[in-house]
Amino acid sequence: MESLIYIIAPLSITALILFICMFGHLKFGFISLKSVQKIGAVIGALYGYLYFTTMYNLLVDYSVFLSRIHYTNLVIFLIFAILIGFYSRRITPDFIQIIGLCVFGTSAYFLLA
Amino acid sequence: MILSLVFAFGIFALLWPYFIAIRAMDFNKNSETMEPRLQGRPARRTIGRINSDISVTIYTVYAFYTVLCVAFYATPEFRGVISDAVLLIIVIALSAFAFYFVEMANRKAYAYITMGQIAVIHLCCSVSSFIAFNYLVHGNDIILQNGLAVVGLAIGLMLIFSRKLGRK
Repeated sequence: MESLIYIIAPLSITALILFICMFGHLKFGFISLKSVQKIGAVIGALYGYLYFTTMYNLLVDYSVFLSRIHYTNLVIFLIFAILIGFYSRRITPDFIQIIGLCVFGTSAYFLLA
Repeated sequence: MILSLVFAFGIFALLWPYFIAIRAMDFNKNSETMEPRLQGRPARRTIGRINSDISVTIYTVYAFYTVLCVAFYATPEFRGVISDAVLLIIVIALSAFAFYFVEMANRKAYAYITMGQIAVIHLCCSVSSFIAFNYLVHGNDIILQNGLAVVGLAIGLMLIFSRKLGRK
């Protein structure tokens, strides 16, 4: 349990970098596509370095399952997307969206617990 | 064996019914039909082009995650053969290459769908490519409970971001 933070923290940071790289530029239509691609490649290289070293440490030194690492990173990435959805008011207290949040949370629990 | 491939294909194939349900794609209308006028979107395109652009985005994102799976999860298999520094350089080069192309796909899709709906594409493609890769390269079959949880994750996110196109 004490070592959980050492797994969650680096994966959260890599998920945040992935999220920013994927969706950070969507509102900035005034930046040309070529520039976005170049910046994306640089951030992608950083993401590759950080995620690979984190994953390698967890896999080799701590024997964490590969699927657990991948799904944790993915779920944190999706939580960022949901938080931005709340912030931008795309997610409102609609019945179907509340059902979706419940299904998402339950599935994430069974996937990662 | 069959279970992994069924889950990998099934989760990937869920994307088309989802985008048809939220009316982002429409295969019933004539492909030359112009899209309806929507608030905040002065440019109008044909239905065929919208279908094509979203499909291309899905395939590109799938290719992106396949390259990342190869970069991250296949290279540790060679750690006894190649030095760690060379492995790291290969991983960084593959990541930069993959990110260079996926940015274009994300931006293309954002003309028609919201950020959350692009996240649904990322979820389905990431999980699908990982399950297929994990089985084909490492020989790890998926556990039924994990497979159902992943399907639940995808359906939950689809419900969360299920707003219609016109309300973007």
